[in-house]
Amino acid sequence: MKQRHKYIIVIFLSAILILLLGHMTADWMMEYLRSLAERIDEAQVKLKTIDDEYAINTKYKDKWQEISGFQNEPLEDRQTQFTAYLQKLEADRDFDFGQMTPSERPLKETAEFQELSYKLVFSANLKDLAMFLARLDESDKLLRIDNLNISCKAVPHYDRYRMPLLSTADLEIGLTVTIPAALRPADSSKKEFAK
Amino acid sequence: MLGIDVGEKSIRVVKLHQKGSDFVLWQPLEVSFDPEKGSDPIALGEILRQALVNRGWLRQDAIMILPHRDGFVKRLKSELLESQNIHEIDHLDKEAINNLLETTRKSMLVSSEELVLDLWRSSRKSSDRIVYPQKESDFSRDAANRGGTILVGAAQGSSIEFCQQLAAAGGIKLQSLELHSVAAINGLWFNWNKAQENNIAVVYRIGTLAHVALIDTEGLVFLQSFNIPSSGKDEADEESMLAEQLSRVFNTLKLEDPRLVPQRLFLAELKDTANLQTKSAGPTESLEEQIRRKTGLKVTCCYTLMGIGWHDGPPEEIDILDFVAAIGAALDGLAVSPTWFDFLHPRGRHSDKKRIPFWRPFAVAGALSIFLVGTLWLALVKQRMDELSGIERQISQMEPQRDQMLALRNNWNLFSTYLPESKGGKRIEYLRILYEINELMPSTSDAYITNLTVGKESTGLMGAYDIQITMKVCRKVDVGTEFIERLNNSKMFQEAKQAGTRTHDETDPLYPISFSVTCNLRKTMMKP
Repeated sequence: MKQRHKYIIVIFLSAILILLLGHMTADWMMEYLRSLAERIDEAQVKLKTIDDEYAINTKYKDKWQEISGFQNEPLEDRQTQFTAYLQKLEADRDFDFGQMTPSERPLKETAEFQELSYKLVFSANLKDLAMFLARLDESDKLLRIDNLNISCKAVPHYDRYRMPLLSTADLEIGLTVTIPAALRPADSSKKEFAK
Repeated sequence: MLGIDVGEKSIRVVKLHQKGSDFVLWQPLEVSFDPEKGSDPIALGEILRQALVNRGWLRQDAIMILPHRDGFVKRLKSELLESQNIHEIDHLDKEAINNLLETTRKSMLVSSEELVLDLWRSSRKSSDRIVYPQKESDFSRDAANRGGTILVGAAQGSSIEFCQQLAAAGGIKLQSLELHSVAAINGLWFNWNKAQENNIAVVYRIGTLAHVALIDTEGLVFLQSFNIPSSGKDEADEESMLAEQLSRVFNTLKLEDPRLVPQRLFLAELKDTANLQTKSAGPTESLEEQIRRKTGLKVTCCYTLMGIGWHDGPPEEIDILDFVAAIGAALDGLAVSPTWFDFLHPRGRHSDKKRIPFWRPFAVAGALSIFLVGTLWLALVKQRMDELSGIERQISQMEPQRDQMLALRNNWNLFSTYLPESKGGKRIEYLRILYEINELMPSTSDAYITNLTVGKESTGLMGAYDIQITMKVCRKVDVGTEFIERLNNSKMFQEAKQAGTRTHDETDPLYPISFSVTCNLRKTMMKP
């Protein structure tokens, strides 16, 4: 084989090798750029989601800040204030709530707050009960009725033009009213330690 | 290597090959043509191509000779250089070279625009092929070593263009263009290269034209071409005039520089067949004697070329002296000639560029392309990496804020059930529940409630509210069923059903049947 032919074959093979290597390198380079672009797209979507969430949550943050003042009130103060409120309602309707000592129950959803539950048992007629419930329903205070039990103590007299329940005043009422409060400092530290 | 001599009536081509110190010559080729076509390079090229094809010499490297009347060599004196800026580092600056070329142009009777110049230096190995000084420092050093002598070759630009067109049409790879006079002197190299003397003179006579060269150990020092003044009476008269002219030339040289004195003269003679109609086998005895007598030099006559080998045996009907110029050109191409010019790549004001190997531009372009593509890719990668890191930085900055906001939102969701709807809360209104039950209850003549319980399930704050209604009804069959159906159709309650079995109290004549109904509040009423 002539030297010239050898050169041609070597050059030809070198050209093919260079083309293959160039093709592979170009593919790798383009793939790397594509992967970077995909990572950028994913990051942008994530950033936009966070932005949207932030914008939505800002509304709730403002609402929370409007009601979050109770967390700074001492527990005893909240008890005293709400007991006084219930006593006023009691006096207004001539109810007898008896001893009003709230039970404390930590909230499992949060480590910073607890519930104070007032269990009220009293007798009333339907009209006074409705007025009492209306006062609680419309109250601006942070409170919630968790349980209500109404029982008739006696059979009402039948009158076809009147409602039987309205005709008597002998209703036995059981009611649980709950308000939120901050944990006692000791409880708070215990819960923190437990975490 | 081909040497091509384009004459007025024929083109002479030789093919010379070198093997070590031996030279092999192929059968020389002489192609005659119509003198009227002598000015048409394309036509001459076609004729040459056909002849080369017949010989199988097409597409070979070739050195071509410029027509002898279109070029000459001038020797410049040392004083010219001394007035220029040869610095202490033995360097002749570019401005000095340009002034030198200007001076040469002014001394020649050809328009400077039409003139192409090439410079020559001598300090090189005999086997090196250096067309012109590679560095200005070399140029000036050489000039200083040889008494400031610089040879400047001059040729007409139109002749160079003519030869290039002829070569293109003739299908040859033209490497260089040489002056006829230099090629003729170089062609006699086989005879004078082994001379023992330091300085020799070489005379090549073609009819009435003579080339006279002075050669020292490093190469050509002086070259002059002249027409032999003659009265036209006879050849003896021409020979006498030639001897006389040679004597004057050597005396002039000696006056100019005492070192430029030849010790031997080599004489080759080619009779002009056009004028004399006869060709001698060599110089006449009388010419040799006349030269010896008038110059006092030892004279060696060249009747043929010494030491040259033939590829197919020596030809019988060819006088090799006819091809001396073509052989000299081929020796140029083989880098054997001690002195040569190259008017294809002349050393001029704008010809300082070095020859670049043909592959180098491609290699440089390829490397540059790879570099540019790589740089572009890296720039794109950097831009995207910067963009990505910027976004990730923003995310990492916002994530704690998002978590904090989420905790606040959870707090709101947790405690909004303690607020009335008028304040944006989700607190259940018990009076509404009682009112709705009252609306859905049967007529008081048919039923009444004995117990009502509304309570949260123990599944959490957001759990459903369970309602249980215990009631007593009359004996009508559908009262209880219709009440349950109304509960299920209402917007407030769902999943209403009877709990347990019905009991009968026969002591109560109006509402003897007692049973309980359970249901719970619809989710929409609790606004999660």
